[in-house]
Amino acid sequence: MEEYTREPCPYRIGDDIGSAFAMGLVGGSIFQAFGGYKNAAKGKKMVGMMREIRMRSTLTGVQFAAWGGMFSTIDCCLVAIRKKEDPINSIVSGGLTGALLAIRSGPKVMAGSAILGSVILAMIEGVGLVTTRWMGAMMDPTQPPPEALDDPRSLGQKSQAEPGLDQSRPFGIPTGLPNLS
Amino acid sequence: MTSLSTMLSRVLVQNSRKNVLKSVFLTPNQFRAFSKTICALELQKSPPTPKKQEHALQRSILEEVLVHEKQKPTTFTGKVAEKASNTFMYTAVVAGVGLIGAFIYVLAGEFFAQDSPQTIFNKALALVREDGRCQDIFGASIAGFGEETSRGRRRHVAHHKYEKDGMQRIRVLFHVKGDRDEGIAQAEMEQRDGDWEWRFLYVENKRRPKTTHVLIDNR
Repeated sequence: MEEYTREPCPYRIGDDIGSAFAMGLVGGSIFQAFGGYKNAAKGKKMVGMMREIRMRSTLTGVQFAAWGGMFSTIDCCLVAIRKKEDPINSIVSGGLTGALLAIRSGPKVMAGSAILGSVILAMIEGVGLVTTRWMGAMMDPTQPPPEALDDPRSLGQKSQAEPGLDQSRPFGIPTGLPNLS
Repeated sequence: MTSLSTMLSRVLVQNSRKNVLKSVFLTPNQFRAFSKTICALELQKSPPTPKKQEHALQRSILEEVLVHEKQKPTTFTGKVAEKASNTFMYTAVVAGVGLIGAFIYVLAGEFFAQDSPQTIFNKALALVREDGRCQDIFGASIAGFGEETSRGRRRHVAHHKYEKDGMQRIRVLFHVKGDRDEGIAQAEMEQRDGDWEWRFLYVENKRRPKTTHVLIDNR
């Protein structure tokens, strides 16, 4: 039970680094395979392709891991500072990550990559938001409208003006027996 | 050995000029070789020939092999085809920028709308943080977050939109956590005469004794 309730934050940095590395490795392999095939000598297409993948895709993976780790670290810092988790966190940390990873290229490049990073993260967040909101309706247009919720019981019976229910009588049992007829 | 050193020191004292010193330390053959190397070094130090600089401005062999520059079309049809493809590219770019703009517009509308779960979550969390009783229950600084995903993200705020008695309502549930305790906050908003207004907002803590604190009740 403790596993479910613990704070995700410092631990998810490691998770993110790992998953980003895996993503970069797979994506980089696919991407470099094309270039390796194209540039290899005629009889050695396969060998050239494999060499290119071995040499380059790990680099791509490491770059992805750096991005993911930096992003997650900044995200966690923002969560700790703002004490709130919302899409703004990830957009800001995407921008900061872009800027910090390009810090050795000067302010102009930093600004460019910061804008790029935040735009990309905003797109990702937006797509997530839209899919969670509209996916249900798109999947099944014939489904019944969302059911109406009752008021939570812990609020108590304050000014319950539900029609057809008399709250003065317990369990809705009519007390005036003569009126039953 | 001692005699040699004494002789050397005498020479050193007597002649402080360099050449003589060199001639004393080195045999004539060695001195010639030494002067040759010095000459060679001085020659190397002279600025590189301008030939190299020219080459730097030119394209390298690798570039010439790899980079192909398209030559401009000379015929009328070629020119027309180039213009057409350029126009198509520009249109594609403009369409892409427009699409991104529309997407951002829609997103901003969703995000900042009065009835979006994010807005309600922000407002409700601000109310909870300002409330004195909530600070008593949870602690001075209260963090708010939504449902946790498997990847450790807690950004998604649980919400349910429905219609009851002809009124649009949205209920939002989020988690609050302070130094002392954590709990759940539930809020509901209702559209009355076009405006979204609070229906209720209350917090419940998890630890015993469980208490329910109602901040807003407009039912």
